[in-house]
Amino acid sequence: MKFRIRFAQQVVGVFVLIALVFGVVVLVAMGANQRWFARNYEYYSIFPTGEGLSVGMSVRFKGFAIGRVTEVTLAEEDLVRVDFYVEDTYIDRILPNSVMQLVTSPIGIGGGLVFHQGIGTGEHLEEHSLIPAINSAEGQRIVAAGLATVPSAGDDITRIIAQVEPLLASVNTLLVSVDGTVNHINKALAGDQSEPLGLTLAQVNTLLEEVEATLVAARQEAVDILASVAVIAGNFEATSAELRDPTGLVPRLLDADGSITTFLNDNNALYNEVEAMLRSINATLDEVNELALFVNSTQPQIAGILEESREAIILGQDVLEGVSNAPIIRRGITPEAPQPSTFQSHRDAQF
Amino acid sequence: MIIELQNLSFTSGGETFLQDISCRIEEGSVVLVMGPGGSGKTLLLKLMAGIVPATGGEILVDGEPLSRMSDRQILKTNLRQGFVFQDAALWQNLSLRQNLSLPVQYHFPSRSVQEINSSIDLLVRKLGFRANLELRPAHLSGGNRTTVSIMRALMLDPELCFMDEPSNGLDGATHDNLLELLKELKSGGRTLVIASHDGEIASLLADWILVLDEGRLLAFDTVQNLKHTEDERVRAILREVLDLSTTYDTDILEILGESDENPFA
Amino acid sequence: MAKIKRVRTHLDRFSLACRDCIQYYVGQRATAVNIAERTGSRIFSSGEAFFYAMGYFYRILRESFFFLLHKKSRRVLTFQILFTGVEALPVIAVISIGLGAIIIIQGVALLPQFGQGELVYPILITVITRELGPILTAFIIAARSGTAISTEIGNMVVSHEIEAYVSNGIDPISYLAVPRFLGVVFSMMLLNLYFNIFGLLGSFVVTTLITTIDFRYYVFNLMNALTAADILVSLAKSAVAGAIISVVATYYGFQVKVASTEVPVMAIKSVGRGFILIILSNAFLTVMYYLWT
Repeated sequence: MKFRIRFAQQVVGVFVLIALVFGVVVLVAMGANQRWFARNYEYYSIFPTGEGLSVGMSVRFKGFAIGRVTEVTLAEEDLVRVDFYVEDTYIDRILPNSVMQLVTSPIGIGGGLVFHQGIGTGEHLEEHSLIPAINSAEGQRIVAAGLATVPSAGDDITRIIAQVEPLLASVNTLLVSVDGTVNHINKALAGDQSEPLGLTLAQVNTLLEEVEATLVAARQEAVDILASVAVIAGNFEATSAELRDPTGLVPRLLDADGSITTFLNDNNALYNEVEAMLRSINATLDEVNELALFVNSTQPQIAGILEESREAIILGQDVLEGVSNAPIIRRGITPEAPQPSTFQSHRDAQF
Repeated sequence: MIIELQNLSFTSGGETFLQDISCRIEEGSVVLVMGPGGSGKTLLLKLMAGIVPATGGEILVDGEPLSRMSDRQILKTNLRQGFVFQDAALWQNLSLRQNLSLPVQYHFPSRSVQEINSSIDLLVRKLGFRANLELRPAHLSGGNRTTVSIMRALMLDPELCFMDEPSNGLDGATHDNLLELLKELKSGGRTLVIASHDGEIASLLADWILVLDEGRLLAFDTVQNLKHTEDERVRAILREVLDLSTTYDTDILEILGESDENPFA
Repeated sequence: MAKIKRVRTHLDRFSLACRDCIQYYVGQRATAVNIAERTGSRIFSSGEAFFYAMGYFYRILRESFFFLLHKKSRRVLTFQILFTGVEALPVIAVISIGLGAIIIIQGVALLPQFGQGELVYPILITVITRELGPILTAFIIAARSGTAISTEIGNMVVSHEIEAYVSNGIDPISYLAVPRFLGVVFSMMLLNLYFNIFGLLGSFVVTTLITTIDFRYYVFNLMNALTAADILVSLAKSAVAGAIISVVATYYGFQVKVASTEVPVMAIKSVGRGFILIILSNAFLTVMYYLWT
């Protein structure tokens, strides 16, 4: 007799047992994973619109999913009632004066229903009670009274955008300063300037100090997202240090003999100084470009703006160079290989 | 167990196989069903046993109509009767011993293996069966299969036993044993309905003879009455049927009422 | 005289023509009546067959209930699970491992390109657990065990073994059909679990030979993608398919009347009918699943 016929009972027994054990293990693993046996606490909130709200959406607190939306219904007075639950492990965080905020992200990922904890102590909020939306009258009151901790921004992208904006403003200030400086130099060199050149250059110095200050500010704002901004500021510091150097550009220009002749006939020393300065500005702009590269990976629009800024700056640099190579020097504008954009189109962007 | 047929008929596919058969089989009697090949003997036996449902008429078992019984009741009735199939109809996937013990085990799960084996041994001895009981039916000769089929029918000690050609293919010794066994059953008050061309069974056992021809009941009477029947057709069939069995038993000739004349001479 | 003769022949011809005409007309009517009768009887008989099949199914269910209560022929059930379940395991294993490995490898290679790398887990669950698993198992079992059952029972009918059961007071439905019914249903459900074991875990092992996926990460994601509804609908599908296979196979097995030539015909019929019913029941359960979730 064949083995499996003689031991039919045993073979079938093992066959059934393995399947059952597998089934039970899967059920237990599933239950543990999907919290079948854990208690959920139910709350609700009222929103003016159901736009962006969906069943199954997670409720987040400091980036952690603490619960889920179970139902979105159109309630009385055309308001939208959102029912959600909070897992029992997080129930201690649901304190009175908490508010809910719907965060939508411009590109559709990363948004969610965000829970902001109320400032208070004691028991958690009673189940089935209302947690007001942040933009409701009650929510506004709580926030205004400082009863809830509401961080400035919710999701990652909003936060990046928030941090990039001051940075862009700084860059803009920088450009304006550089432009002003160049104008001054331009005028001085052209001899249109009524003020002595020295004064102009002193002005340049002040302006560059301003630039430095701006960049320091920028650095502080951007320090979270980009360490390389430090390098930008570093470059500028180097430049301004050079300007402050007693043997450097400024004292020489302030020299009694310091004149346009000196500027032209000191073996291009002064010119080289100016050029070095411009190079450092260029380097700075490259840094900005790198920043753009980084932001590019997160937010295409910003990249576009930065790209434009970079081009504008390069243009400004060209102008500056053109000025420095003014007809007096007759060197023209050096052709520059165009730097390809790091950003092609939205389609190429990787998420 | 009394079986009564009332205008029994059976049709299938527009063809009539049995028509208008009425008779009453008394308890303890031995009925021999005779008729030429294709006259519907096997079918009649299966209808009576409730294996095949009749299409017309009625079968009463102890006065109760079979058509009004539930499947369960019919199975219960079947339990009181045995059936020997012409082709033995042994269960091919079981050994001979399992073939014999299955009905007992199925209906009486409490019966011990020893008990079942001892009743198997008793039947084996009575019929002088020699083959190994652990074999499958496919390994047996036709005669041996019939023997096992007879044993299986008797395993539950039935009140009534239908036998379809039980002596087919049996060797002489087993045939004699079978006759002895049938006699024993008869004396034990069992009812036997046997479809057979076997002259010995007819002469030694039969109380009644049922003659079928082309699906019709030609005669149903005691052996004594049939001896003197005037019906030419019945006489012809009996002669024909018994001719086939090539027996020289004088009793048979007596049945035909022609004892003074040997038809084979 | 000659005239009269001619008239008579004409009359004879005429009457013959009339008779032909009448015969033709009667024949036509008979044919029309025949067609109507035949169509009617066919509808009637197919309706009758349907109710007969339903009654048969009901009897199997009823007897199954008694069978489970009495545990009479458990041996037959054990062997049925052995033949249908255990012996089909290698085929099921190969198919499910192959299918699972293909899904994982293709998924891991392809889906991240659309930024949907996590989608491989729901796809695995949908294909292996919910959709293809039950139906592929059902096809294999219908082809393997369905034919075996209908052939076996058909041969039993031909050799009068079924009648032997009846004559011994053993109900062929409860003794032969019910253990096969229960055996195939249980085997189908067990094989479905094995299909999942091999399809989800075996294929993972195969995949680790080609790419690297962390096991814990894999299992965690899989368990998150799996829902109780998936498991329920999958088990329901395989149980229903098992019931269809066994009921259809035994039904057609018992449909054999006298000749052994009917046996293969009925086996083919049982597989064909079985496949159609399996697909229909699967579609129905899938629709139910989507309506439910």
